[in-house]
Amino acid sequence: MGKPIDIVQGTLDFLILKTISLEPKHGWAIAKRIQQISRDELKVPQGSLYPALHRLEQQGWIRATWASTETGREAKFYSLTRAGRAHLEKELANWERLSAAINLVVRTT
Amino acid sequence: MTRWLDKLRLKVRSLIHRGQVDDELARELQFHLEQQVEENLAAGMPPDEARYAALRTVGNMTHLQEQCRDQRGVNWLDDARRDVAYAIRTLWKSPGFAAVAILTLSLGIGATTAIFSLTKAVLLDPLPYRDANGLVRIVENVPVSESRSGAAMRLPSMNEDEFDWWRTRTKTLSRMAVLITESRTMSTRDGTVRLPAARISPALFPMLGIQPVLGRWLRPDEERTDAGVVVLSTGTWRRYFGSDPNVIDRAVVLDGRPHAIVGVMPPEFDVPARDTGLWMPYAVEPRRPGFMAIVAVLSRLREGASIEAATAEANILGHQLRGFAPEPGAPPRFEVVRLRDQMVAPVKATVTILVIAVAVVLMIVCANTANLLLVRGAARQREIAIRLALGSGRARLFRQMLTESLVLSVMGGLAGTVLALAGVRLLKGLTSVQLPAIFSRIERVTGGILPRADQIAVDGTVLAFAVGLSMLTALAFGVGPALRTSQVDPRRAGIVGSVFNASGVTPSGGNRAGHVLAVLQLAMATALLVGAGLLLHSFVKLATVKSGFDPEGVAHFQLVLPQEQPLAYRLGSALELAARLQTLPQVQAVGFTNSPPLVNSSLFASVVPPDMSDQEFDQIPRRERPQLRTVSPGYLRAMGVRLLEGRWFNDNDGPGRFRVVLVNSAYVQRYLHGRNPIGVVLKQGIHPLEIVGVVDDIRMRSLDGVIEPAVFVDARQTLSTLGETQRGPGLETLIVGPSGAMSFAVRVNGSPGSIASDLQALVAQIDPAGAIEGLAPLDEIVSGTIARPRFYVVLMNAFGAIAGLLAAIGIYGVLAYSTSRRTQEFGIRLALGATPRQVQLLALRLGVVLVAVGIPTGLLLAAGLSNFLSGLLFELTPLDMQTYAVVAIGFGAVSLAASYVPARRATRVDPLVALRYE
Repeated sequence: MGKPIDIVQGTLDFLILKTISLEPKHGWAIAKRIQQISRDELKVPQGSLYPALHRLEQQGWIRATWASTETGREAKFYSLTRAGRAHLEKELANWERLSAAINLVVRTT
Repeated sequence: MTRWLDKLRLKVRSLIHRGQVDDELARELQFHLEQQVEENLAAGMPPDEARYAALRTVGNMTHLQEQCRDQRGVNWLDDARRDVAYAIRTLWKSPGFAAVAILTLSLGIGATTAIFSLTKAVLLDPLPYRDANGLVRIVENVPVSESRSGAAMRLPSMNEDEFDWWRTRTKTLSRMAVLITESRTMSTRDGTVRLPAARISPALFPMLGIQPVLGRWLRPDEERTDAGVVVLSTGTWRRYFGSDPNVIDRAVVLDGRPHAIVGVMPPEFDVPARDTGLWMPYAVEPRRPGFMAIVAVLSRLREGASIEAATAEANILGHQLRGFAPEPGAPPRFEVVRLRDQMVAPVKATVTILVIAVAVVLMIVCANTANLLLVRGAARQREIAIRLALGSGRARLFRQMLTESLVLSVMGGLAGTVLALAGVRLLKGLTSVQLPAIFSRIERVTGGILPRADQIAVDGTVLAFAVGLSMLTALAFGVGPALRTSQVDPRRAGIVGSVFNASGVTPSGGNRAGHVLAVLQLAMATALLVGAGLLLHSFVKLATVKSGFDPEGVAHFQLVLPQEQPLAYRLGSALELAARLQTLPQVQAVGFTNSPPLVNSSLFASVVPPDMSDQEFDQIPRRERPQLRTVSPGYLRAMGVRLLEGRWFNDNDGPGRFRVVLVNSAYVQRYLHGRNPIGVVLKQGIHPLEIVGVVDDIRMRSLDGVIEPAVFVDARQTLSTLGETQRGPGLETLIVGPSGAMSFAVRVNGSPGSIASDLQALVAQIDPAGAIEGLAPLDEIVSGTIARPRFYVVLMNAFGAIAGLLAAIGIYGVLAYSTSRRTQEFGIRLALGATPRQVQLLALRLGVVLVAVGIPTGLLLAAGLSNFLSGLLFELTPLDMQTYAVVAIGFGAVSLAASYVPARRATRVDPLVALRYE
């Protein structure tokens, strides 16, 4: 496992939105999931995660509710709002286009 | 859409429940920490190490919380709170500066707020009647050729005979009502009392829509002279009927005739005047031929009719009455004007001038404060530079400076509002002038110096204005200095010492902006002072004009006797009263006349000079004909009029004797061309009149009027003409005048009021049905007639004084600052051998330059704007050189003195200290 790559803020927002698109999660779970799925390539430091979560909440893309975890503790769960879901679709499309374009340039030289 | 709502909800929550929100954040991060500890434990770390490792990865909790809070975006409020607290602390540390700034601001904001409440009450507020916008008056523009007074007039009234005709034919006006202001004698338990009253068309009540407190309005079927009904005002009801709820249908005796009380109206029903006590129905009475009654008419526009349509119809109807076709292209003969516009038209110009004056004061205040801030900013350069160097953003500093200005402004606004409250009280006091009714304008529908001045008050709107004004002034004087101060370049800010202070090596101390501000202040203050000075000069001329009589120590009142009594009887009563008053120990002279002084009533007489025929006399235009007054023998003496030649009326003249008259010098000059006037015989109809004396010219109709030739007839001889036709005013007018009463003048040793009780007793003895009206000292009356110009003079001069003082303080400040900046320079010069005087002059040079530029600019500004004042000046041109010179020299001296004081201190510099100063 190499050094975790620094994740740019906009991309982090995008990843968070995608992670909670299936089911609501709390902050810890989101970070763990991203780390898991990316096979330990992307480790999200708390210093970026929580400000990002709060920013996304302020912007109205996600909504927060307090609920109990499986172990019975109280945690703040985040879920997508309808606007957030639409935003996620848009960002997804953008990302596809962008990464395809970069791939082309990098591979073809 | 919902996204926006969510955002808003979150922001509000962050604001209101911030404690809760912060708690949540702490719990959330705590949860995260615990999860990390668990993970570490599961990986096999011992408990302590697990905890430490977790803490290390989570990082700085506080910083994290701060970052999250940042995201919430309500930090600006926190910042603002901190800025305000900081601003208050810094101002507290410089109490002198803060005190001066706040005081100056409070003067400016307070004065502006007071004038705003005046403008609002007089010009802006709608009238307190139902649908007041639909109330109109018909105004006739009478050209010179047809005018009775010899000048073009704008009459908001019409002939009595035309009223009915008009009323039946108008289609654009739904109602028309006549208002006639009068007085009535009412018999009460305690004797007869004279009350201000009005005869009105019953239609006035529904027109204004104010419900009665008791009873009902006058009905249309009561529009008869013999209706015998009356409506009381709340004031009359309280004072003379003890607020008796059963007063309806009781009878009250007015002018000797019983009237039934049918209603009581509340104080809001204040037409034609606030003090009107009784309303009776108006109906056209048969008039003596040749006697035209002009009545005030108030109308209401029909629903849906426009002013233009009403004006067009008025011109058509009017021309039918006047009998000629409208000329194309000529200004309309008749206009329909909204009541409010017609009421405020005479004062609109002067109120505007007041507004401009106070705006000038406010601008000077802002300039002053801006200057103060600039100077202070310059003194804080080091502090600013350090803060910039430590990483504060310029925007943040700018916001901080602006917050300071805002704090100053708010405090100045609070103090200013208190000042405004006092100012409003002062204004109301200045504008409420108690004059006996006869001396107020004849044509008034709630008058006084300013219409509706009693409504001036500091209400919600005015307070909101004060708040808004504070904000605006903060921006006006704060933005510039804040920008300037936050633009400091840290490298040049004097952290590194230098011989000449950085940021300004120019000899004047580098305060260009401050100099410009000082010049502006001087110019504006000069212009305002010139305006105030012109008004003052004009007022002094008016107040000291030669009136021809001496009002000091004279009591004036009107004697009102029932109209049913024969004229001879009434004349006898008046003569009797005069004789009895003469016996009182303190009375020097007493007499009466048919027309009170300083009332604009014109009584012409066809008293033909000897070498003129009647036809020739008729050729003389009206305004040049002599005025006629009937006087009892003692009247002119009581009024203090000088006798120039001949004699007064005496006991040898009387009924049956040869008719005698007095004339004034204007008459002699105009009609007798240098002949010896004594003994000359004039003709009145078939009667010869002998001139027995010549008196000084009197300004009879108003203090600012012209001197007219006048003829004075002995009252005792007027009755001999009974039964004969008169050329001129009727016999009734000859004796009791157009007001229906005789006007008495009593010259008294000591206070004029001392005859009051004796007077009542004497009148009751002579005729119980007689009443005294309007007893007042004549000098108060005279002073009251010039109350309006006095009001403006007081205000304008107050503003001028404030402006001048502030401008002087401003230039003082600029010079003080400049001198303090140049201490090293002065020190060096002194060390190099300059004399103290030379250094002082050098320091003073700046002041001289500022004054030399500022004051002439102000004079030019005043000259350019002087036209606005020309209508207000009495016998004075707006370019009166005297006033300009006085202002220029006086204010110039003050300003130079203000700049000299700090300049003098320039020499108190120890050269060694100066050189060492960093």
